[in-house]
Amino acid sequence: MIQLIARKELVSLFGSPLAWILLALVHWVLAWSFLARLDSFLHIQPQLAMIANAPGATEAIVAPVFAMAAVMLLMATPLMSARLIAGERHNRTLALLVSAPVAARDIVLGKFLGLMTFLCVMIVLATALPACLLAGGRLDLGLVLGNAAGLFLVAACFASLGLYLSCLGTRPATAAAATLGLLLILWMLDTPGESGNLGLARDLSLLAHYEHFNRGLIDSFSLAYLTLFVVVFLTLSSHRLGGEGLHDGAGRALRHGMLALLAILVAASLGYLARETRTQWDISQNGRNSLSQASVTVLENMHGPLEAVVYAAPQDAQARDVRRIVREFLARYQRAKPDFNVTFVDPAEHPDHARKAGIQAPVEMVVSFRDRHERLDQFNEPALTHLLMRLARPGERVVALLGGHGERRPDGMAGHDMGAFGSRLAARGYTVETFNLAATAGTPAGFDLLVIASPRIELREGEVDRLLAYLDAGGNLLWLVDAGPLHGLQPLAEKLELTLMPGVVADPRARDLKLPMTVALGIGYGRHPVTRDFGDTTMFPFARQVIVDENETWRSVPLVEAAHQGWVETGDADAAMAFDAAYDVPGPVNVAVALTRILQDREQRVAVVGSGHFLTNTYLGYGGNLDFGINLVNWLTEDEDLMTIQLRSVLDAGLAFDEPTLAVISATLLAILPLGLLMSGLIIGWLRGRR
Amino acid sequence: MTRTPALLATNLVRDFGACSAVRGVSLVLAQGEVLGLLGPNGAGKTTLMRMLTGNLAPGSGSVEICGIDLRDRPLEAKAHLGYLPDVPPLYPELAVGEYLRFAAGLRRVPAAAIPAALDRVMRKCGLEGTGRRLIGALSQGYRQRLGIAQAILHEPDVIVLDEPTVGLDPAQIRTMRALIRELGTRHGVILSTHLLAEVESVCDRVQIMHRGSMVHQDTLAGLRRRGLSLEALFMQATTGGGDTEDAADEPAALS
Ligand SMILES: Nc1ncnc2c1ncn2[C@@H]1O[C@H](COP(=O)(O)OP(=O)(O)O)[C@@H](O)[C@H]1O
Ligand SMILES: [Mg+2]
Repeated sequence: MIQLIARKELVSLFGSPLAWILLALVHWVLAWSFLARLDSFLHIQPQLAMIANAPGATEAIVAPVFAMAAVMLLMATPLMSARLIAGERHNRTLALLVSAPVAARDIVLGKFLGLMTFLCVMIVLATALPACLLAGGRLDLGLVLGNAAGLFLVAACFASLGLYLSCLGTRPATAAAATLGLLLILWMLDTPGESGNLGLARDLSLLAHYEHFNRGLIDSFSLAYLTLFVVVFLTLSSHRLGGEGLHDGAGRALRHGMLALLAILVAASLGYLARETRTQWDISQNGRNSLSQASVTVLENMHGPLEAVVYAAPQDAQARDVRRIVREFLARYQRAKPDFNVTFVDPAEHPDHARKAGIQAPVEMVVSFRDRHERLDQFNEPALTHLLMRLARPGERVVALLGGHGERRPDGMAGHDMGAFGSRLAARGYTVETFNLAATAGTPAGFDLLVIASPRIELREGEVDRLLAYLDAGGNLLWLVDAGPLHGLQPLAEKLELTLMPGVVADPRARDLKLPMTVALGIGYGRHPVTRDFGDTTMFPFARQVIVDENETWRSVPLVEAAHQGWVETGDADAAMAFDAAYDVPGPVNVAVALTRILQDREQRVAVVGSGHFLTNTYLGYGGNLDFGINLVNWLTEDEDLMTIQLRSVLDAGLAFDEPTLAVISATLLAILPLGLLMSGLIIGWLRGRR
Repeated sequence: MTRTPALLATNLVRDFGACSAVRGVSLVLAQGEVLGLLGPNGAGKTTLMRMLTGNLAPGSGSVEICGIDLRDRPLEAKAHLGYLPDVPPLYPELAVGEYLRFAAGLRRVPAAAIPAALDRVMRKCGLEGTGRRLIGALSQGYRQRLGIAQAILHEPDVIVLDEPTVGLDPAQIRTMRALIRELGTRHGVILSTHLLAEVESVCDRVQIMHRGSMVHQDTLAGLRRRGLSLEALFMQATTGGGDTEDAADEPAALS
């Protein structure tokens, strides 16, 4: 019976051109916005590659299009739902259904099913848009699936509310207007108003629940809320329609009101239960809603409760709900560490608290663990996880940069200095200092790691001997070597059994990123703690090839292979660069290596990178350079369990379309499909009318 | 008769705000009988029929169809019912065949029996060859016949027809009346009308309604036996109260 009624609804709908026109229109608008987003994504793609933690194609293109589709459905559904019952009353056809031996429940479910089938066609058309992207790369299918599921659920909510309002009256236009109005209110309930107390409003807002799905998050409370919403309104519809011809007047209104109250009470208590037992699953393949493994490891190693007090006004100057942004960010940590307690304090209400805590930024939090406190005003995963590392780490680590020979300075702000990297290390709890051989005597000591960063003045023989003694004593070393002369450090290279090849690595692929060819792109990574799970591109300017000679002393692992389509340019680097098979070594070229050996039952660690530029202020922000540098230092200072947060690289980072494919996709989405839908509608209408 | 009546209504009352449309009407319909509800416009015939078919809740009183209480077991009671409202419940965007198949499905006609039922009913109602036409494109006469077709296609025990011959031309009226008489041999039929001639030509029994009340009832045979004319009876019953709402319509009703 349900099927019969649903089928009749579909024949009614698709028999007339209106439904087809609506489908074509909605699809056209969505396709247009989709293609616009695709176009701008293809344009900014090279820049995105250089931003750490950049969104993938699915997040940048598909999720916003689905959010837009939800709004289009919100507008389209009242048009379709209003006629379901009110329209039949208006045309006096309801008598056919009511005098037939059909339960009101079946009528309601049949109508609902019919409308949902139509809406599903819209959803399938919307899902067809991301499917086109598969022609040019990969997609985060989990995220697409979450979005489609969310769209389906909110469409069901729209349809059930529309159906109920349609049951109440005899005028379709009134029902449509009421549905649209109510849906808009329910949709935007979330937008903060004057009151500031938005707890309940957020819990009731359809948009707030849809947003979870939009981010690829399955939230048990959202799932329960949306389902209860549908069930309540279908129940009410069926009760209202069932009362038709049985009860009348005030008696019916009273009975219906009582049932409505009861249904809402039951739904509210179930909803409350669902809210209290809320769990969330991240179904996006990129795991953008989950913590990286490194953060999870840090949390696992923190035994005992963790407290955070967030000083934030209920909304910021732009009226954004900052607390919610912070709460959602911290929720990822709370999912991994249930005894992470978060409280919010309004600094305007408790200025004394805020002052005592030393709060300066508009939004800042104090995290406490075992009587240690740290402040944080950046709300991103690396920042918070590093703070947690500092809280968890018992001692201090000292990194010393060799000074006195024109090396890059850890506190210098010039482009060729490493001030930015130095402060990043400091922010992670390292003490960073300059070590001057001339100011001390004997074997260098007093730090956990020595960094030699591109000296520009010849080291004296005695100085080099002391560096060699440091190595012999088992000290850890990071050596950044530029192309060009070694300034007296040749014995060091011999000690490490390295051959440092002359010439600069040239990489034509850099041009794709609008970089000079002298920037070698690191893509292949060795199996090593430093580069474990590493997916970002690293960028090494003016790199030189590092070759490890056969030897018994050092165990070596090549870390980075760069310039896969490039070569080592032995000619003049300033002249036009071109591959010369006679002299140049073809890529890929090894530009970084990790060395270890066992000395007095302890592992000595050394890393050599054939580019001094990659950690400078100029290039630190390029691709994964910062992460790579931090990983190196962590490993060299034996902080393996606290390796940097390797923000997972997204699997749908790159899309590549050739012009013809793009043209075919645009033509199909913008012209062929909508026109096909329109034509189908017109042809079917014409055929049916002609008989 | 010991057999349960096809339809039994007791003391039905219905008010619309201050206006009482039906005030305490009872009626019995035996199987194999055609009952005519005669009354001027506004007498409450349509309101009464909507209550009989479960489309309108009675203020008080009860309805039984084949002995089944309409309020307590509405689905079972409605299974014995066919109803043509005063406005035929047609979907203009559907084709005639689609519509009748839908109606048959709603009335729980087994899928296997639907084609035969459709054939039969379309032949009876003079709808042959219209199966693929859109209802919206049909003329008034066809629509009225389609409305009757949906009411009888599942061979219900009780057929309620609200002014079934409105909008038909004289020839169609004649065939329609013949059809109703034929239905009356096997089913219980109630039809409402304001046309005396209609009652005289098809009904076994007549109940005259006026301003919401049943003012007279008799069998046609009994009237003939007593030499009473329906017309005189109707005039007497409906003008007795004086200020009939639709007094102006009455001369037309007598044509
Ligand atoms: N839905 C309604 N709302 C208010 N009054 C109504 C409604 N339906 C019928 N009436 C009133 O009830 C009375 C009986 O109407 P009706 O049953 O249609 O008469 P008939 O079918 O005999 O012409 C009329 O006075 C009419 O105005
Ligand atoms: Mg009437």
